Amino acid sequence: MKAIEIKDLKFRYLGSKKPSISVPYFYVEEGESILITGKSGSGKSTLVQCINGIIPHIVNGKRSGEVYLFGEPVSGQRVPEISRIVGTLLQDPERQVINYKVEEEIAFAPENFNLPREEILEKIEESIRAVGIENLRGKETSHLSGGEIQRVALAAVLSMDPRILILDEPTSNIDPEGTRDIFQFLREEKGKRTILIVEHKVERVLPFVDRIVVVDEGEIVLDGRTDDLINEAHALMELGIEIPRHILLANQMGITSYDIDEVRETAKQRNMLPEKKVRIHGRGAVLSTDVKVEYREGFRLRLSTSFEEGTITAVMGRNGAGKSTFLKALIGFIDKDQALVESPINMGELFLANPDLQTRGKYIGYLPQSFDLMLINKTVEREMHYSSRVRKANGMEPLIKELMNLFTLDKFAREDPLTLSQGQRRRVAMGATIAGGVKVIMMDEPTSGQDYMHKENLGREITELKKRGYSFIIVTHDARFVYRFADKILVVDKGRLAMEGTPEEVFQNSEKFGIVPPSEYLLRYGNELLVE
Amino acid sequence: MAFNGIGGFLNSPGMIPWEIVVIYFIVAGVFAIIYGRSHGAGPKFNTVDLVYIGVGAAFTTVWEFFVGPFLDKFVPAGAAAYIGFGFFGRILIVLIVAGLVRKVGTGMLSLFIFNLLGDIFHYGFSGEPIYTIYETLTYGLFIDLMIAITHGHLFGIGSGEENEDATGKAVKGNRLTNFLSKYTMVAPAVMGGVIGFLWAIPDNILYTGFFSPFLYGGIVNWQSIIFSFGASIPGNIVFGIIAAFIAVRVSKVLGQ
Amino acid sequence: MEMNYLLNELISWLIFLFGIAGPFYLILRAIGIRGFKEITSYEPHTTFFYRMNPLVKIVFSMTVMIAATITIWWIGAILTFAVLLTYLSLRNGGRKLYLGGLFAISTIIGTAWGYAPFATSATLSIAFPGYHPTILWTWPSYFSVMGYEPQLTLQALLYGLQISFRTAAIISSALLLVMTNTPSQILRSLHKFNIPDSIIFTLMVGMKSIPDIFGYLDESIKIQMMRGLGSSHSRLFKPVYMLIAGVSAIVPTIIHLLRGAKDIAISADTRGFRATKKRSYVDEIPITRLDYYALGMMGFIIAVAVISIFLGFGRTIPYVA
Repeated sequence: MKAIEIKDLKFRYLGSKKPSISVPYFYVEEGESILITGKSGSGKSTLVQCINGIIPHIVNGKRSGEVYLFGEPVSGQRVPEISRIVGTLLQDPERQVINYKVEEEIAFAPENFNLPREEILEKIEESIRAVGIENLRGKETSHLSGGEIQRVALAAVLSMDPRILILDEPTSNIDPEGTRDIFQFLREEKGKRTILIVEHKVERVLPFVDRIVVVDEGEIVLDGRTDDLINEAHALMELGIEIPRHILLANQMGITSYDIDEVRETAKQRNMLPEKKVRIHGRGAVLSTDVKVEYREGFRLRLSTSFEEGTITAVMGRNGAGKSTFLKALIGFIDKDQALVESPINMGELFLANPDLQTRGKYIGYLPQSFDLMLINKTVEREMHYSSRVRKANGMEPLIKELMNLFTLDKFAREDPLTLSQGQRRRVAMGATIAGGVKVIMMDEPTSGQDYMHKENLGREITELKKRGYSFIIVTHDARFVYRFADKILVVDKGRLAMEGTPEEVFQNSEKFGIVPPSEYLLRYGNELLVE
Repeated sequence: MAFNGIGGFLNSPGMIPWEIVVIYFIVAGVFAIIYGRSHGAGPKFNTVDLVYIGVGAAFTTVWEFFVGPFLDKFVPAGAAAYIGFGFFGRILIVLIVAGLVRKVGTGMLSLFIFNLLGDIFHYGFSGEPIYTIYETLTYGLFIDLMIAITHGHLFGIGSGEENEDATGKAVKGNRLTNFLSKYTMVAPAVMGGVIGFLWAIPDNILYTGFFSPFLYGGIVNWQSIIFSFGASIPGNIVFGIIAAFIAVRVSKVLGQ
Repeated sequence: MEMNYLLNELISWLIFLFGIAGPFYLILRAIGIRGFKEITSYEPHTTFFYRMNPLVKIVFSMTVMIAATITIWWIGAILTFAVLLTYLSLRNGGRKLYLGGLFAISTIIGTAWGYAPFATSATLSIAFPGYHPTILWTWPSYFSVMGYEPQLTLQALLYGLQISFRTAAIISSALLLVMTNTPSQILRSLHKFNIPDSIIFTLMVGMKSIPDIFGYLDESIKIQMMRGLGSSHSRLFKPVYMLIAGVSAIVPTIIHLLRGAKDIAISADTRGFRATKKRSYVDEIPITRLDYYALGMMGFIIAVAVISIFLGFGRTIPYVA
């Protein structure tokens, strides 16, 4: 039986000129597992929102055509009714959890259907078991890590036992261990219900999907069995989809196995292993520090290190290890009454003992995860000039021009930064930070929730800036990004510096700190313990 | 002894007769609902609307109770009749939410939730339910009247959309939407200004002239009522206009 | 003579500035936006306030309010301090007492100062039968431009305090509720009054957002400071620049919050929100013996208030808007 059937569907958001999704015909058989992928803004989330009834019932816009769930039209049913058939897990764990306690959150759906108390308690138990979060019982959602919240959210969706499960980028905002747990669940669920998963991490999903659907510019441009489509890896790559390097290499070499070790062996024999990455070191410290933070609540951080000029340093580790605290202590974001902070900084001739924001901000830039909070000006141009204006600094014009050009912001100069796309906003925020004249830039999770193309762009930009003498300190979970662009990794664990070294050095032993080496690294070095 | 801080005085000299107040509330409320329904902007909120209203009310609470009062300290008392930052913050935030939701009832529900939050965080339910009824059916209702009159196109937002179908092709809109989508600068300015003006009425006239004596036996002085009403009008109108343009900006940013 | 005149001018301005800057300093520097977040958010704990039914706590703040309203100002003061002292029983009680105390003091100074210099003798003669002003300070004549009465009297200060302790007592008890209950507990207890689910949900979103708003505003303000706002001026002006930053932070903060609104709504709707007219609750909040004790205590407070009125310590001061 067809679980989902779409006929002549078109949808246009208010304010946009052309339809965001246009699907003449599409169907999903009951029990199928399907990967829906495409670059950011391609329309894949719009497609699943047409399936779970968010469109046309919640999102404003113009829609024509119809979607059928087990033969029933979506437009004829209310969203709460649809929600008994289709369960939806969203991208951002914190935004979708409404209640305070884990059990309350799982009970939310059964309560909405006015089920008797005993039945709700049963459903809570079943869901907790299905997702394996027995250890989170009785906890408060606000005290959980992103990965844990995401599993609570998944349990909350499963509490209605939906026949169709939609997962809309479920792992984009969570750490590698959380990601592994979600994928583990999907592996076990395969075949038990119809699953649609929207994902950028194609590589991780491939083992348990039957079909891959690629959406581009609002249309389904590729739709086929997983095994067939993988032969079109290069075509997928051109559509902005992140394809693991070993699959591309396997394609290139004309072999059918996608096992990294096998591909690596063949490549080695044919002398086709990827180039060794160039890491920069030995340029002298641009910043050294000895950070001590003691929160009243008990968390402690002690980290002494230095950063080299013109390099990119990645700070990695589990959620709650102290990575963001480290950045905040360096810039002076932590209030005195929250924690005892000592973070003396040496920058060549300059010594800064007092963690004063205004002074430190002159030398160090900081881009928080929610960078939107920084955009206070009405035009991109004004945003870029903000620091030089308030600091009354002259002679910044050439730098600002150069940055506008580098971040391709010229054509948006007069536009409202808040109306730009997420990627563009990130560039405005980054450009405006550097336009203050800083030489060291710290970024908190800039790769979170970003697709392959955006991450590649970010990587290119920071590499270009690095060449011009800027230094970056970047907190991220994305091991592939780090392998491709970073010169050095700091691994933080439980408030301590656990490892420090080049990506090649760190990835050898990083798994015990929750950092899974990327396939590119494994392809190049395999399990050889000694770096070549 | 007063019940829950409500004195229930009805005979203070100069007080607005209670019959007028009651009639106003009934007539205005019924008009907004009937007119709104007949123009496709009935009080049927979807969940996003509720979230917008909840977040907006939370923001207003933070602004009015924790931030605004201290901004107001910078206003010399002589100018306090003209400028009230706490109140301007309320205009701004409520109009942003109204611009996003644009359904009759948005204003009233926003003020209702704001009052409940204010009670939970600040007032401890004193003087209730009078305050909630008063603010909901004045500040809230004025916005809803404007939403009803514009058929759900407050500040002209969304009026251009009526003239296009799902593929973006032009279709024939009605006279109102054609008009609003043509005058994109005038519509927010006029509507924001009118709302700003209307918002000068409740606290200055209705509260001082009726609710203050009703609740606490406050003294009614029409000279000072007329002065403070007149003095607050320019500031309210200017802020109303600014708020309307910010509301248009926010609705564009959020694609509503 | 000349010296006296200058001294008088100087002291007048110092008093004036204290009334304005005192609360302001407490709010921005001593409490800070993070501090507000702390006294408006729930943290789990097990002492008696955490076990009381939220409804009983709402009744408690109403009781405190009524008692403070109908009695003389110093009874309001005692109530305020008594309520603040109970903060010691909360999680991180010392810190909460410190923050709550500062907030109460800033409210008291702020509110009293908002009324005292402007209270006319007409108002005060209604408030104090047989009104004989005790003059504490005479302002320079040009202070009348700001609406000040020519003289500051003891009665005017008492009048200001009467109003401010009423407010301070209510705020201190209202914050107790939000610090010791999750929004869902408060709303689960309200559902007994048949309040529609959509309103309960909207309130819950609002309550949950308030601490977040403080957090985001704080972050946005800090970023502006980091980018150099106010750095070309003396540190003395820092609070002024924090305010400028606060105003600039409104639009980005509200947009940041509202961008998440769709996700919250989708998450609720795709889990059957408003599917049926009636909703069940798995976790009923009972009224326990502790609540009855608390209600008894409230009865006692009201009784004391009524007795005070008969003893001549009732409120005679009208609230003039």
